[in-house]
Amino acid sequence: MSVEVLQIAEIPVSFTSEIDLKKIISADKFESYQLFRLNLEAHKLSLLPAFDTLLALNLSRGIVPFEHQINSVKKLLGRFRGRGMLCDEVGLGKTIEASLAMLELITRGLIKRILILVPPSLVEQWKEETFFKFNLEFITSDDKEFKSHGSGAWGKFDRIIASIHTAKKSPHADAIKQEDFDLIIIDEAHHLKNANTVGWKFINSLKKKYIFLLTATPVQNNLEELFNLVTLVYPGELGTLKSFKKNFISAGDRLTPKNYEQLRSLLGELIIRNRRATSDVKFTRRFAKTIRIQLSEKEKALYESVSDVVRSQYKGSPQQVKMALRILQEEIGSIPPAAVSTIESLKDKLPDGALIDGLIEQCNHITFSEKIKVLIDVIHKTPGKVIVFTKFRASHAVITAVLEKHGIRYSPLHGGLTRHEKEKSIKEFQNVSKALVATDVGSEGRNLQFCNHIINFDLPWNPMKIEQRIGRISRIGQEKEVHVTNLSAKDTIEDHILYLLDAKINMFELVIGEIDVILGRLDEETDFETLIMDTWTKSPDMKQFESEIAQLGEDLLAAKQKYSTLKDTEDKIFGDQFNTTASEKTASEGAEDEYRDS
Amino acid sequence: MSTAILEKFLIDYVEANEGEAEPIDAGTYTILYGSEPAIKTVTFEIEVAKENNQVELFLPGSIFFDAVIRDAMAKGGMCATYLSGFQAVTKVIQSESMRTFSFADHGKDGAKKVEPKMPSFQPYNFRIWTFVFKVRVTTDIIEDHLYTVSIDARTLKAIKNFTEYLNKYQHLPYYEETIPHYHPQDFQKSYQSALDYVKQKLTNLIARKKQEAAAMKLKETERIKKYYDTLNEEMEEALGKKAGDHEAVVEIQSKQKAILVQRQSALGDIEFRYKMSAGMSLVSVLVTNYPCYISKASVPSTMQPSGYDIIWNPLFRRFEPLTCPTCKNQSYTLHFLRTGIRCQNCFKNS
Repeated sequence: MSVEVLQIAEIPVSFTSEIDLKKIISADKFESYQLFRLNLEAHKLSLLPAFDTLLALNLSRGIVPFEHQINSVKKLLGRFRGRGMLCDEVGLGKTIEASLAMLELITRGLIKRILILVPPSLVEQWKEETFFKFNLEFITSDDKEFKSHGSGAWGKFDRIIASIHTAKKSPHADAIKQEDFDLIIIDEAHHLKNANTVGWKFINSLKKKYIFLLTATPVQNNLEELFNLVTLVYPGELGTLKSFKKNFISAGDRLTPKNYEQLRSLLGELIIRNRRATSDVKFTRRFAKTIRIQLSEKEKALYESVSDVVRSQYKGSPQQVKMALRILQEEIGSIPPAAVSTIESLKDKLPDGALIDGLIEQCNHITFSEKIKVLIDVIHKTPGKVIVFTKFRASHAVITAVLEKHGIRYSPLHGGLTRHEKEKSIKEFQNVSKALVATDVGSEGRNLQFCNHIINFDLPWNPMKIEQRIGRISRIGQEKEVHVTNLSAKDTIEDHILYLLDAKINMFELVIGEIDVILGRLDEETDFETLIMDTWTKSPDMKQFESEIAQLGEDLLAAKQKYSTLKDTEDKIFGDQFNTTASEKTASEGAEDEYRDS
Repeated sequence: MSTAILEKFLIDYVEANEGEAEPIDAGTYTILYGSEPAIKTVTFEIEVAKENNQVELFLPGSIFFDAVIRDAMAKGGMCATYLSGFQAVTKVIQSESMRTFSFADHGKDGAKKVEPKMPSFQPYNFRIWTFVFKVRVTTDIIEDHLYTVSIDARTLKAIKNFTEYLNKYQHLPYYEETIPHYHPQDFQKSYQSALDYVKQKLTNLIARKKQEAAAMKLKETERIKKYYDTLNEEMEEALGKKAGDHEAVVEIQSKQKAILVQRQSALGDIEFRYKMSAGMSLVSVLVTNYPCYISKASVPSTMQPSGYDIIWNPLFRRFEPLTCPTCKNQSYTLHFLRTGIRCQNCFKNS
């Protein structure tokens, strides 16, 4: 293949010939006309169509995007030319839209270097979604391999998902600013509502060709926030802040726009916002039930002993020990055998080894679990299939052993299985088993909507993880009502988390994604599980902990109410003007017909 | 993209690989082809493929589609065809030529129609070279084009829509009888003509894309400049107001510096986004051979006796006009004068 560079209209055009012209001159054998025709048609079909034909649709796995999602991608890439804000209401699949648009740009060869910046709690979720649904592999800023390269990692890898909190800090921020990214995606972009923050300034300084901002709540407290977000994508499109305030914000009410038509027309070129009311997304109803279990005396004593050790040792311990103590506290909330290995591993790490010996001794005396008994009872009473979720492999082993003993046919799903084994297990569950016993890691990326009942044998402290479990069955394609049964032992941390999430804010009936928005209003820097652990270890006794949790409950309720008010305000500002119900005309439409030029 | 185009393409592909395609449902086929044939179920319906992972999806972007396209593009790069089936009856052509061409002898006795001496028409091989070029222009979007250029090897002129026209005829792998070439086989000149032709097309395309990108770039650059200039003016105004407040002045000046950096960064983004690149490749070549019928006629004029090749082109179903030696235009009528040979136009004007 020969390569030369031609100068055409002052642009260097690389010219390659896939044909050896010398061979043509001396050739005594040519291929047939039929093959020429086929070759010509193949080349015509290989021409990139305009963005009204999305190639990515045929590459995604296990998802059939909704019409509003397809239209959003067409609009984002076509009319907005790859720079815009996806502001769909919660639950309409902004992640799907952004990932589809990203895959489309990759397929067309328009992008190579991608940076996805998200809150820390969503890093793994993005990695999972992009891999399982779009076959795109990313490295995350939490991965060991990434960390091993220090701040040089930002230039080394082409596809990165990172916590925005990590990225904006030194030395990472300076390293990232040196890089040219083809695409930057920012999830939960409302965290950048304030232009005076390090985060906003950091994003504003990044070099990028395309940028997608994702948020369900582009306006939270005032219209300035909207201005700041728009300015990250299209600096100057809304003028300066001073002129924006003068032209578009009503005096005395920073949430009410003036010159509304003009503002709406400007935003129409930047924002996509689909609403549930006008989309074709419909979910079946969800019902949650919590069974509070009275632990046996021995179990209760062990739980208290473990909690005492955790409380007394947590403060002042090195980070690694703190992490182990937190895991221990979570494990003991699942089932005692789950904690044994962590307890043993702590023996050399804690100053007083006798404490650990005592815990091991207590563990050895527990041969019966009230929780397991309830679990068997619930499974027997559930008419159809059921998924039992647990956080820990040790709990998984106990549960499966007991199910076997009771003659309940089950299929296992955990991170230790190969991909093939997982597929086999799910198929078996779908066809013959009564129960699927799954860990959170094992069930990543799996759609299990043929089942409509899950049992949370134990409860993740991170509400997003709880939501992910529900999302395995409460998704498109689910035709029945969804039932969630939570098992929690009385007076444990999980018991209190359930009080907050279920009794206080009715989380199990919220739309998937809303819990994140509500929690996001609590504290932007601290994640929920850290908040719980801090409250637990700082409370000298149960009474104090209960009082702190009660306060947190009030804060959560206030956040939920504020979110509800905010939705009304945003409806007022955006209405149905930014829906993508109609097909989008794209910038390069018509170009594909030119292949007939001859 | 219509799935009918894809269905036709897949069936053609299977047939070219000596296989079979059979419809089993709307938009779904079973196919069997290749050296180690195995039955494959293929669909053009995305829902069908999502429901059954044993069914191959055949739509742009799908793995099977890409594999077939790649295979089809790997073959058929250097092809030849021989057109046949024109069923030319030389006697009919001969009598038709007498009606088409007209020769007038302008001697002393005035104008007189001259009957040329025309031996019987014989077949000669003519050639048309078709070159397919693929062009990609990239800015913040990509535009792909396929240019198919057909060059008449005799005249070195481009023939419009030749590949569309070609489908009407019967194609053979070679002539059944030996037919002599009518004109020299200078491939290089044909190739050069095709290249010049496509370069011209590309010049127009790039100029259009440049203009488009420049307009977008200008619009965005102006917006960015206006934004940061206004921001800076606002800062200057604030500086004026806070002239005596040292701390405030330092803070505003630091903001001004930041604005300058942001301005550069935003302008850099625009450059990055609209940077244009272009690439072109020659992807296939087809040589079309077809027999034209030629009579080497002589015109017995009293003024200037001349010889002419009367050419019947069965592909375009017409006689080729003769070239006027005076104006070089094409004509079916020639006037023989003492001062020279002229076409009808030149004759009228003289």
